[in-house]
Amino acid sequence: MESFLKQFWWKIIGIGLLMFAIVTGLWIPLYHGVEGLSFPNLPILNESIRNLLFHVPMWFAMVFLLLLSFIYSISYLVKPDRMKDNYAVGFAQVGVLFGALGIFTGMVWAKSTWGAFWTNDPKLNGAAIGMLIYFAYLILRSSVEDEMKRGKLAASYNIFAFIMYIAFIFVIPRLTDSLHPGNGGNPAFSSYDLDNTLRMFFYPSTLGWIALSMWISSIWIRYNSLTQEYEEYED
Amino acid sequence: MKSLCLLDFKPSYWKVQIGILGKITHLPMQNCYLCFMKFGWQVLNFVWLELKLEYRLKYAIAGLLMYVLSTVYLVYFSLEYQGVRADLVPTIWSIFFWLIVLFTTVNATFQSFSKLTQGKMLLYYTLVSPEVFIAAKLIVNALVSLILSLLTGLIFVFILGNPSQQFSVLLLSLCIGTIGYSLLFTYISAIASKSGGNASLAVVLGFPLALPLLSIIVKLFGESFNPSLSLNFDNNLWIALGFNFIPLLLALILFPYIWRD
Repeated sequence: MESFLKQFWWKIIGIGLLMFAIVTGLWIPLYHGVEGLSFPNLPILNESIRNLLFHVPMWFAMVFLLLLSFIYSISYLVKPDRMKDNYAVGFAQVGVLFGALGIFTGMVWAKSTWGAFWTNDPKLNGAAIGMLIYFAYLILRSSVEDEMKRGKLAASYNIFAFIMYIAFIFVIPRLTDSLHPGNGGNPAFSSYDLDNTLRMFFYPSTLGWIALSMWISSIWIRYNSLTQEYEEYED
Repeated sequence: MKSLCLLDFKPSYWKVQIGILGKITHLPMQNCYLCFMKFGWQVLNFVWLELKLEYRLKYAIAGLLMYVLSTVYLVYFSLEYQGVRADLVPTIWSIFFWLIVLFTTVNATFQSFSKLTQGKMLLYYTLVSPEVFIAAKLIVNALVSLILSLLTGLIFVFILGNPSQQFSVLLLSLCIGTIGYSLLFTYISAIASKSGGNASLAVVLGFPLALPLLSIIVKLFGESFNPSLSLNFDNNLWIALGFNFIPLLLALILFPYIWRD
């Protein structure tokens, strides 16, 4: 993993995909009766349909980073190593950052389509609870002084929390109605929202955001471990 | 001191005395299924020991009961002096009830770990395996919080009236919810007490994780206020049981890693 994070090829490909998705995603017109490359023109969504290339991939990136953090926590418990702990916390922190970005883009989108920044929607509540869980994880980390102990406690909480959170976001949307596609009688992405043209941009943009999030977290993790080494050197 | 001698294990055989019967049994430990049985016996023994200790330190339970009583009375007063106690709707009743149960459960589970001194922990390290320890803690905490929440329900019914039309549904969801919370918060309290924090750290760590179960349990609980059950009652019941099972499993798997300092 460490060598993979230092390689350049996936970063270049990821940024290329992201540039492609953003530039062409903003440039392609909505469908206006003329044949050719166009996004679907839906009644309430209108131009805001382009947010699909930002809002949804950010959530995917967040879940991906939290999954990586979870995996590093497991491997830390199996064989404790300081670097694994750094990876786990770095991925979780950048995951929280992407979650915040996802909430922010979602709020802008919700204001223009549903009429309010925050609605009582199970997915929104799930996102809010996820943020709370990972803030609690960071608070737990900051409350323990001893490094070995902190690593163990934080890793075990991370595993516990991630499994509960995944169970939650799978179960809760089934309990109530939601305004999101695919819940409560609303059609899912696959039926007509995500037509072929949009899909052509959605998948590259997902990969691009995931690559960007990985890049940011690799820099963040390196920065943190260097700071740690420097502080020890000073002592 | 005699109760601690119950947990006297030798490698070749295993001597056990179940406290209430007082009969000493010798079990050979060659067979694997006997090892599994050993786990069960050990847990049972440890639960019995913990319950005895709980009985000896009556002030802890009495303190929790006082906590419940004074909180319920606080609710009663705040409703009474606004003149709205007569038109207390069942939903508000259940909100007050679950908030009190949640905080009581956190306190009960956290104090079961925080009262363990360093010396006592050292004794437990030498006596039992971490799985036995956490399994016994889970069972004892579930029992204690169940008793406390049933008492809370009783006091609520006495003071604020009984809004339910199907009392069995209320009792069922009360039991499932309380056991689920106590299982979750037992593990969270273990983490919080290991990190040297106080009960508020357990609240911070546990409440976001308790919200999923809370949202389902409140739904189940609310059904007792209607004359008949809704169609997806069974479905929600299974989900609630699943949320009881996940913390149980994870606590048994993860606790051995954080046991020793």
